[in-house]
Amino acid sequence: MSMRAAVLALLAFAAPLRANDVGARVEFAGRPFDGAASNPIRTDFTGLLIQGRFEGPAAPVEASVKSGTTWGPWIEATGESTKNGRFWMKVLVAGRKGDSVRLRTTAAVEVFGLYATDFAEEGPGPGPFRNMTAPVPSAASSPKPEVKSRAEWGARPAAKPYSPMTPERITIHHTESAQPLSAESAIDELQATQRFHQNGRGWIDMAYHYLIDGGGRIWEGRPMAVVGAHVKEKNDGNVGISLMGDFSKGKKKPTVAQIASLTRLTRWLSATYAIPADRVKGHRDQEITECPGDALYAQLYELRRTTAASADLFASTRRTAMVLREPAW
Amino acid sequence: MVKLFFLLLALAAPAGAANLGRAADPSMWDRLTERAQRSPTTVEKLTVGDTEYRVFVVTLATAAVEGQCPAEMTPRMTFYLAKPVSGPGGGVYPGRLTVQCTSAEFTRQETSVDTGFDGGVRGGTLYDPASNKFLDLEKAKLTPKQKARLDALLAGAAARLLGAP
Repeated sequence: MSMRAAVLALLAFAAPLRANDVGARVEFAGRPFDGAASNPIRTDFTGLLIQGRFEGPAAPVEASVKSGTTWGPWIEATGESTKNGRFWMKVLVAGRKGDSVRLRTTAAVEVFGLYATDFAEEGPGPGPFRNMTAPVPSAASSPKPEVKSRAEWGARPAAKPYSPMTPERITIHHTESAQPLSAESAIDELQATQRFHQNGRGWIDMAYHYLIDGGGRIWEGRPMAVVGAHVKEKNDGNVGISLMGDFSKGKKKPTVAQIASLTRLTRWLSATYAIPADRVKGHRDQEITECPGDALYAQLYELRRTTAASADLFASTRRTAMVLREPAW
Repeated sequence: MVKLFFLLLALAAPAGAANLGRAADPSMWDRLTERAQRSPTTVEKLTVGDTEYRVFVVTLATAAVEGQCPAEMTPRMTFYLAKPVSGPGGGVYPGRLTVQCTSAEFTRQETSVDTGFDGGVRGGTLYDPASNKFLDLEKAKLTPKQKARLDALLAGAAARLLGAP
């Protein structure tokens, strides 16, 4: 299929907006999208969501966003594809309004839909990762996500021995600081946070059990199954997960990669330690604080819903359920 | 004997002491650790640095401390014994005894003590209803009443843990 035909396919097979897609549908007015500009996007958006099908070998898909009269750099989309060539991808960009987007790829590709989406504004309901579904064995529905060890970020040892605990609930935080996107900058931030917690707060170690950087990498904070220091006087049995960044009103929003990793981590913890979904809470649910910020707190309903769906899978091995597929980054 | 043991533990928890004291009755520590290994509620794996631990956990959700928790919460006591399986150890306190109030919403730490291999208390916290504060056993200077409360909580928990099947 030619690029022009692909664009026609884009118009013909455009997938409808999901209820929680608050962004704009992006169209190219029948023009090829090998670099051609789309229509103006008259809404704030933090990323682009693409779904379609490769007709041959997969190839990178890149997007560029216009700011004012200037086109930004080409940014490679990330996502996943299946053996039959179906894919979905996303491109994260800074929040913009009134701009256009252009796409390019060397592959023969049929694009079903492209949306400018404000991922962080998604409310309750299906998220952007729900469009690809498949029945899988329950045992595979909550695999352990990759967690980068303390050694990988150069953690200092704890100041004192830890106290063992039995995990029975999960609390979501934000670090209320930088939102590093690269591994290198995340390591710098992790080390700075540990120093703040140990030297400033006077705690024996990093407060949280896990931290998730802007790129979606999961980092080990404290070892699992030891008491943390993240909810005042309610730390026993409480697993602390903190997304790196400040998600207070008017500040940043969690990235799609962060939310995807948080979902996978929470589902795995829930399955491993038999933690029910209603015990996944925000920090503000347990003491007076803004943490984890409005933008992240708004995601927790969906997080609990997803966790509960995962738990349902474990409850019945005979049930064939729709499960979430998430990007592999 | 149980009460005496924990009374002595409590009295050996003065403010500012880095080591809060040794077990006055080593046999009590031995009985608790034997109980944990003989019939644990759960056995968990814990990795800290290069050391892997096997953690024997004995938990009782019965009301061993009636009247200590708010009406909507349930008393619970837990004893942890962390034994290194491989590696140098030292990353986790070998023993921990907790008395808590728990609900679906959260778990409040009523009191807890961390111990060394010998059962000697190394640290912990005590909830003080009078001030509605949690006292750090390493830093706070306990009043006689607070010490008595600590004694009662720990003695009650230990007795039930040892008496449980």
